Order: sequence, then C-alpha cells, then structure tokens
Amino acid sequence: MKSVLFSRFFILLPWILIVIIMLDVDTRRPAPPLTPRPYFSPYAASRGGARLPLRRGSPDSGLGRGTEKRNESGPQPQPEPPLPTIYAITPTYSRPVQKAELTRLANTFRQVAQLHWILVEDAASRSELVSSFLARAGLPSTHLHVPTPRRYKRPGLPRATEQRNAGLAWLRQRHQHQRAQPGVLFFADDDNTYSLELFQEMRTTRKVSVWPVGLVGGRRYERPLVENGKVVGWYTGWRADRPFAIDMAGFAVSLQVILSNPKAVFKRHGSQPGMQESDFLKQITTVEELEPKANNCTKVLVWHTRTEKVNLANEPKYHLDTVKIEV
Amino acid sequence: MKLKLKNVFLAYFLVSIAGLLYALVQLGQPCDCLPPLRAAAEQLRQKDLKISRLQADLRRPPPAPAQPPEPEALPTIYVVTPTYARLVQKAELVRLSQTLSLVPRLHWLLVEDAEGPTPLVSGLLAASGLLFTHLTVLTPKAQRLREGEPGWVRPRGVEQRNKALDWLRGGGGAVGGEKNPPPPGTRGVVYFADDDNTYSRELFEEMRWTHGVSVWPVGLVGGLRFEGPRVQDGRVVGFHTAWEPNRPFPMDMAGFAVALPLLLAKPNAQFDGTAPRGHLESSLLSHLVDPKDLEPRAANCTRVLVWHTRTEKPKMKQEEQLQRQSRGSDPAIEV
Repeated sequence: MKSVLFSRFFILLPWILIVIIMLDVDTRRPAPPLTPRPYFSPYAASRGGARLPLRRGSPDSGLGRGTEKRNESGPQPQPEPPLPTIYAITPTYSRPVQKAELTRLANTFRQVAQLHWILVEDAASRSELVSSFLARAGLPSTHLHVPTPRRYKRPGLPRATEQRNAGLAWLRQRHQHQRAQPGVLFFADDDNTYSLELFQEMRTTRKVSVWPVGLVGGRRYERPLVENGKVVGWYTGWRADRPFAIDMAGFAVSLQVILSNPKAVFKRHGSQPGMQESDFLKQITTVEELEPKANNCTKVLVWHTRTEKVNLANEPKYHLDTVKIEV
Repeated sequence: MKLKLKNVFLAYFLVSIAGLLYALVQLGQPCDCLPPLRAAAEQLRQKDLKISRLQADLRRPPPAPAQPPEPEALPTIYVVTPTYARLVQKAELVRLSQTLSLVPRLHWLLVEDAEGPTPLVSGLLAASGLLFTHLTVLTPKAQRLREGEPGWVRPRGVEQRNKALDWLRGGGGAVGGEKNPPPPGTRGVVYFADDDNTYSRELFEEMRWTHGVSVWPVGLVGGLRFEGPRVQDGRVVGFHTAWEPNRPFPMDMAGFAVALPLLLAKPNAQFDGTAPRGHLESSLLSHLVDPKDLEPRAANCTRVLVWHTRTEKPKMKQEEQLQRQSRGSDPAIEV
C-alpha cells in the first residue's frame, strides 16, 4: 500500500508545484505600468482647457483653488513672477491613525501658497477614505496609488520606495511636454511636523537644499555642518560615514534637477537600510552643490515626530455596531 | 515501449516536469494584459464619475446655518490647552497652532506647567498670529508624574485647566497675550484641547453654537476605534465605550465643549484632581449638566472629527551618550 501512496504523491507533486507557481505569478504581476494610458477623466476638461490629458491620477481637486499660473483669473493687478510651486510627495498606508495624520498634514499644507500635494497610497486601488478626504481637503492635490510587493514588507527593509517613485514618475510625466516651470519637490512623510517657515526656505531652492531635522537619529536634531555657505560635514548620530547623512525630511530638490535626471529614483536593490536618501541624492547632486537653508542650518523647522500605535484592545472582533463609522 | 505501469509513471512524470519548466520560462514574460487593464480602466472611469458627482455635491453651497454668520456675531471658541516641556513640545504646539489658524473667532488659552513663561512657548505664540492668552501654573510636586511612570497613573493638566477656567471667570494672572478675560455676557464656548490630539476644522464649527454642553465621538481612544455618545431622536441615550462604562460621563476630554455662560453661571465647576482614573471629565461635567441634556453634534454623533493621537517619545540614546562626553547638541538651537 505504501508504494501506491508514494507513487500517487510523486505524481501529484509537480502539478501542485505548478499550481503554486501560477498563484504566485498572479500576485506578483508587476503593478500596472506607471506610464499613463490615454485616459480622459470626465471632469478634467471642465476645469479650464489647459490641462494635460495624458495624466494618471485625479486632477486637482481643490475647490476652485488655482494651480500654478494657469488658473490665474482673479483680479490681480500685475502678474508678479509666479511663486515656484512646492510639490509635496506623501506616501501613506492604511492604519487606524491614517485619517488623523492626513487631517493635520492637510491643515498645515492648506496654509502654504502654491503647494501641490501628491498623495500616494500603498494600496492596490484608491481607497474610499483617502478619496473622500482629498475631495474635502481644500488644496490642490493628486491621488496616486501603488502597492508594495509583499516580500518588501519585512521590518528593516526601506519603506515607501515604490510610492515615492510613483510620485516622481507622475511629476516627470506631467512636465515632459511643458517648458519647465519653477518648482520644488520634497518628500513629506505623513507623521512628521512641518512649520510654515520651512516652506518659505525651500521655495528658493535652485538645485538641492538641506536643513536640520529635529528629533531624529537618536538626537535632539541632526543637521548639515555649514562653513562659508557650503555644507562641509554632517552632525548626525547614525552612520555619519554616509555620503549624505540626512533624513528624508531634511532636503528638497528643484523640479529642474528631477526632470534633468530622469533615471534618478529610489532604489531597492543594493540599498542598505538607512541609505535611501544617500543613494537617491548621489544620483542627482554632490555635497558641494548643496544649498544650506534655515539660517545656515541652525534652526529646526521640521520635526521627525512619530505617532504611537493605537491601542485597539477593546475593539470587538466582529462589527457589532449598527452603523459603519469611518475613523 | 511496453505498456508497463512504470512507463506510464515515467511518461507522466516527464510531462509534468516539462510543464513545470514551461511555466517557469513563462515567468517574467510580457503578457497580453489588455483585457483586464481595459476592465480596470473602465472601473476607474466609473469611480471618477462618482467622484465628480460627489464633488459637484460638495460645491453646492452648504445649507445656511440658522444664525446669521456675520463675523462679529460668531461666538468665540476658547481653546484651553495645557502643555509641558518635553522634546516634542514645540512640534506639537506648531501643528496645533497650524490647525487653529484655520478657525475664525478663536481664542487660544495656552497654560504651561511651569513657574513662569518659557521663551519657547512665548516665541511660538507670538509667531503664530493667533489671538492667545498665555498662562502658567506649576503642578505641585505630589501631583507630578515621576520618572518612568506611565501617563495614566496621575491625572495631568488639572491645575492648568483649572487656571484657565479661573482666568475666564475674571481671575487674572495672564503672563502674555490678551490679558482681559471676556466681558460678562459674551457668547462663547470652551473646549479643552490637549496638544497631542488631532482636530479637523469642521469640529470647531460643530461646537461653536453650544448652549449647554455639546458632545461628539472621539477617534482612537479607550481601546476602541472611537468612543462616543449613542443618540436617539436627537438626544443622548447612552455611550458607546468599553473602558469603565459606569462613569457618569464616560468620554474623553476632547469629546465635549461647554458654553461659556454656563461655566460662568457655575463658578464652582472645576476639575477634581483627586478623582479616580478616568473620572476627570465627569468631575467637571457633573457640576454642569445631566447626561440626558447633552447636545449631540457631528451628525448625531456619527462622524469622527477629532482623534486621540499620541506622539511617541523620541529615542535619545545618542544624545545621552554625547551628553556624557560633554559633546551634547547645542542648546542654543531650539527644538
């Protein structure tokens, strides 16, 4: 009897393996390509004709707020040189505090002129929560999404790589047909705290600017060391031997530099933890070219705050309430 | 070959291996994905249509409030925030002030747990552009948390909130900002806002027209996704809560607001620092109102407009190491 069982097992084994591989192939199918498909959003056309049709993600959802120069139709006497637009790329993922974090971030960003918020969800499709949130947020925004492959979700691996790259791809794609307008891009994680002064400082970025970040690296602050207006070193607590020992919240890049380095993206392969910023900046600039801001990097205008994980111990396993309330 | 069982198995096995290899080769090949992509694009189009319809709905002017919304006639919201010095203090106050800047007719009462006004808070208030009053009162040593004690062991912010109530009642003692308390007869509402919570703009408009005590759900508190009153026919009939539901007012500090005239009419209404854990809110509210007279807000308490977020204590391992070597960070750089 035993030999019959063995033979049956060995017959079935290759088929089981094939089935497993097929399943894995399906889930590993690469995310829908980020080069946009010709997709005309039905309400894009109604918001002024000067809008690029080849764009993924929803167009600006601000309620009547102008985006860049194109919608300047108000009674302004004399068109001043347009303020460079600040693009904030924020990766976000679903967890209990997501809506709260996005709410306070939106409250901050609303008060910054000419800021365009690029929100990239770590999800396979746009979530209801974020979509309706952005519709009422009251600032120009773009809603993208790209899921992180499961194998990259281990602790210790860099996070939000795919989402930041999606933001970069959208920006590059949006401006490929246009003469580059002045703009500045920075990466805004959804749990940090930004003062309004920071945006004034970064708006004058010509190539890549840097500033101190508070409460990071096990220290009160980390900052670039500046002499004669040039960055000469790094005051940091962690791996000071990195070429750019700076946190994601500590730098901004001008749009020009992003567009002229189309291959500069955040890498996964060969990237050690904590080297994300360095590997990215290495591709686009050198330490000598960095522009120190915030009073020669002596003022802390951004804090690397982190929000505690929420205690949901009393939440029942199954939904018991009569209504579904979004939190 | 002879039709032996062994040969059948062999053939079967070889075919299986061949199929396996074929499947492996197929990995990584571009595939004809057009139909599912088209379907996905169609789905996206539907979703966008829905979104544009919703946006059109939003753009329609909201129903006019019952009272005329003239700026001078808007009741003032008095936001009482106790704060104390710690690493994340400036960050918390910065983002709270950014939210408060979005609210018209708001008066921020910031009460420091300190002997006197600190430069950090004074500078922040001056730069915020808000109408504010700066108060200070030091928590007595016996009441203060000791090193390493979890936050819930002792009630916090009691003296500070009571100091703000005292100022509103004409007690004086402001060290900065607007020194004169509101004149009697002022229409207003008092809200106790801790500096680490998250508030949406809409919350303040919900509370502005409170006559007695208004309530709404608070997110991410009490071990639940949200805690809040249960409402039937526009009246509060119970509370959705899991932790100590027998409290007279089982809600968080961020879940209610009190009309200023009511507070002034009950000069003895204060927070009781000796109340048992979790009963701090009840110690004030039981002086003011009955649970059945609470005014439900936020669409009959079905929307969460405030979240009880807490900020992690930043790790300062490196900083402590450097301090021991007398190479600590420059204290002149304010964080």
